[in-house]
Amino acid sequence: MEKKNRSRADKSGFQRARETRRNPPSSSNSWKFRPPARKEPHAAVEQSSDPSSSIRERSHNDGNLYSPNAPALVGTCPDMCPEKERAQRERLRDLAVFERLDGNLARTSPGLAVKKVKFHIISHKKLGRCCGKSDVSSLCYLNMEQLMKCLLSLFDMYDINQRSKSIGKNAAEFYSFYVLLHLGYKIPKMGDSLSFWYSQLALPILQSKEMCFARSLLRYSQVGNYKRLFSTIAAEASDLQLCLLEPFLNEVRGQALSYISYSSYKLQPYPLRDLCKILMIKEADLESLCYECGLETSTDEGGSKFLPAKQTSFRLPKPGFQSYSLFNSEKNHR
Amino acid sequence: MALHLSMGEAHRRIAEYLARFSDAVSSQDGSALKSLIFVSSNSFYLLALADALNVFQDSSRLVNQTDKYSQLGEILIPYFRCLQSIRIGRFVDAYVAFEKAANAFLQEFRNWETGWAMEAMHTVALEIRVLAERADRELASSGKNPEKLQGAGSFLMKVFGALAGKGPKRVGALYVTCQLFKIYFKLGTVHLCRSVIRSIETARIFDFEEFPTRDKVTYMYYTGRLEVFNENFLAADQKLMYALMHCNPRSKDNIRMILKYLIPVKLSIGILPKMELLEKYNLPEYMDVVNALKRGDLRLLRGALRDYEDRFLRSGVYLVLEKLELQVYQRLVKKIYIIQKQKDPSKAHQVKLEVIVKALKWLEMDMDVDEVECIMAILIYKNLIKGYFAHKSKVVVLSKQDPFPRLNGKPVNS
Repeated sequence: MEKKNRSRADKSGFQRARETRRNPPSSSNSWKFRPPARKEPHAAVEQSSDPSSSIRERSHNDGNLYSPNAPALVGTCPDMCPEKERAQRERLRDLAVFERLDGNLARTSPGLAVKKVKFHIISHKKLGRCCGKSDVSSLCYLNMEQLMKCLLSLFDMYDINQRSKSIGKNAAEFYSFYVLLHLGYKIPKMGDSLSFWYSQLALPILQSKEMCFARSLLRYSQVGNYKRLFSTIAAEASDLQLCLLEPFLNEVRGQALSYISYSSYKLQPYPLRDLCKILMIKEADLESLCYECGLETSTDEGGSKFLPAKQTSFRLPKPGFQSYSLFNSEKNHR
Repeated sequence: MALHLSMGEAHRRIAEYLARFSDAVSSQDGSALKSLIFVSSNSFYLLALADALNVFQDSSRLVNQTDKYSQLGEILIPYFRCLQSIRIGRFVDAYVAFEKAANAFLQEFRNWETGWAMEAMHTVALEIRVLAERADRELASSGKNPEKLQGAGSFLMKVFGALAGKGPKRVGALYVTCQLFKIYFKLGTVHLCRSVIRSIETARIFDFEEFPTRDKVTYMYYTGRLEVFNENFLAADQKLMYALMHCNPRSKDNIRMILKYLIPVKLSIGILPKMELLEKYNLPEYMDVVNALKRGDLRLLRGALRDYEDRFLRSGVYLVLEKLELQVYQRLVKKIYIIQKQKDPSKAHQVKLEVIVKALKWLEMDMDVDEVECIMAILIYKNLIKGYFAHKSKVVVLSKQDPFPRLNGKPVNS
C-alpha cells in the first residue's frame, strides 16, 4: 500500500522541497491527487484536490512522511478548491470529530446534536447571504439535507429521553425549526407529511410559544397575509429562528409579488415603496428581487418605482440567489 | 375454579381438544379450526382448557406421545403455553408463545395447497396483533421498551408474503393488509404502508373487487386517511366515499370514523354536510366549521380550531381545516357584495377595502387595509374571487359575471 502511494505520487509530479513553497507557478506539472485507496471515515468529504488535507489523511497511513527527517511535500497544482468550500468542509470535519461521544462515531447525545443543528442553521443563513454561484447553491442544498437529518435524529433522542425525564426547555424551539423548514424551497423532505408529524407530537410541545409562532407563520403564508407574516417574524423570531427563516424570505416575497402582479389593476401599478414596507426589504433589494423573479418594474416622472400588473413571466427566485435580511424601515433592522 | 379441577378431568379436556384440533386439520375444516384458536373470543371452552392446562402441567407429553398430535406439536405446545399465560394474566409470555405457534402455523399453512384454513390464518393474524398490544401495555407499565407490536408487524409481513402471490390464497391478502395498517397507524410508522399498498394495487392478476367487502371498506378507510395526511383531496374523497358507501349502514361507529376524515375533505372541495348528519353521528367539532363557511364568520372557524385543537391535531385534519380560512374570507366578501347589491346594484361590484376592514372588526378581527389587500390578492390569484384590486383607490373590483366561483368538487388551486 505504502509503495503504491509513493510511486503514484512520484509519477504525478509531486515535488519534494527543502522548504515549503506556496503555489508554484508551473502548470504543466499539475497533478490530481486521488484519495488513498483505504477507506477513511471522511473519504466521502474528500472530493477535491486539496493537497493539505490529503496529506493529513496520508499521515495516518504512512508515518514516514511526517518523520522529522522527511522533506516537506509541496503540491504543484494551483489552488482549485474555493476557499469558502474548503472552510466549510473543515468546519464539518471538525464538527464530526467533536460531536463524537467518547470517540465513538456511532453514539452522540442531545447536547452535541443540538450544537450540530445550530451549526447547520447558522451555515444556512451565511450561505444564503453569499452571492449566487452554482457551487453555493449545491452547498445550500447539502446543508439543508444535513440540517434535516440532524433535526430528525435530535427528535428521536427527545423521544427516547422523554420516557425517563422531561426534555429540555429549549426543545420546543428545535421542533419549531422543522415547521419553519416548510416555508422554504422544496427539497425532498425526509419523512412524512406535516399533518402526520403533528399527529405524533405531544400537545404541550405543539402549544409551546415557539411552535405557535412557527405554526402561525405557516398559516399567514397560506392565507397570503404577508404583512402579518413579516411583522410577526420581526417581533417574535428568536435568533436561530431568524437565521433559519432568512434564506426563505425571498421565496416568500416572490410569491407575494406574483399574487400582487396577477391581481392588481393594470392602470394602478403597485408602488415598490409601499410594497417594501410590507415585505420588510430595502427598495433597491426589492427591485433586484423583481428582476430575479422575471418581473419588470416601471418608473414615473418623479423617479418612483412600481410593479406593473398582469405580468406573465414570473418565476421563483433560484435557491442560490442572495438572501436579504428583514429590513424594518421604522426601526433598526435585525 | 381451577382448584376444583381434578387431574383426570384436566387430562380429558386436553385430550379432547387435541382430538378436535387434529380432526379439523385432517378434514380441512376451516371454521372448526378457527374456533379452536380464537383466543380473544374469551370462549368458555378455551378458558376451561386453559384451567386444565394449568392443572395438568405436562401437556407437551400428551402431545408428543401420539403421532398425529406430535406432527402438529410445534403449533400446539407453544399455543398451550400461550393459553396458560393468558389465564394468569401474563401477556408478554403469552405473546412470545403465541408468536412461536403462529410461525409454526404459517409453515403448515404454506404447505396446504388450497385456502381452506384462511379463516384460521386470519384469526392468527388478528390474535397476534391483539396479544402484542396487550404485551406492550404490560411492558410499558413496567418501564420497559414496548416492542412486541413491531414484532407482530414483521410476522404479518411474512403472512402477507405467503398470500399475495398468484393462487387461491390471494383473496385473503387484504384482511392481513388491514391488520398491518392497524399496526402501522398505531405505531406511527405509516410509511411502511407503502409497500403493501403497492402489492395490492399494482398487481394485474387479481381484481380488487373480488376481495370481501368488509376488507375493501377497511382498506379504503386507511388508504383514504393516508391521502388526507398528504392533502390529496380528490383521492381522499374517492377512497373515503367508497368506504362510506360500502360500509354496513348499521355500524354507526364505523360510519362515524369514516365521516371524521371525510368531512374535512368534503369541506376542502366546497361540499358542506347537513347539520343533521353531524348530529346523528356525534361530530360536534365540525358544527362551527360548517357555520363559519356558511356565514363567512372567521371567529367560528378559529374558535373550533382552538376548542378542538388536540382532537384535530391527533387525527391529522388540523391543517386541512386551517386552509378553509380562504373560503371563509370568500364568503364574507360575497355577503358584503350581496348587501351592497340590495342597496345599489350599479355600484355593488366595487367593494372598498375599508368596508371589509369594518366587517372584520364587527367579527372581532383586527386587520388593517394592507392585510386585507394581501388577502384579496391571494383570493383573486386562486380564483376564489374574479376581479382585481386597485391599490391607490383601495378597492376590490369584482367581475360582473360569477365573481365568486364555486369550488364544484375541486380543491382550491394550490
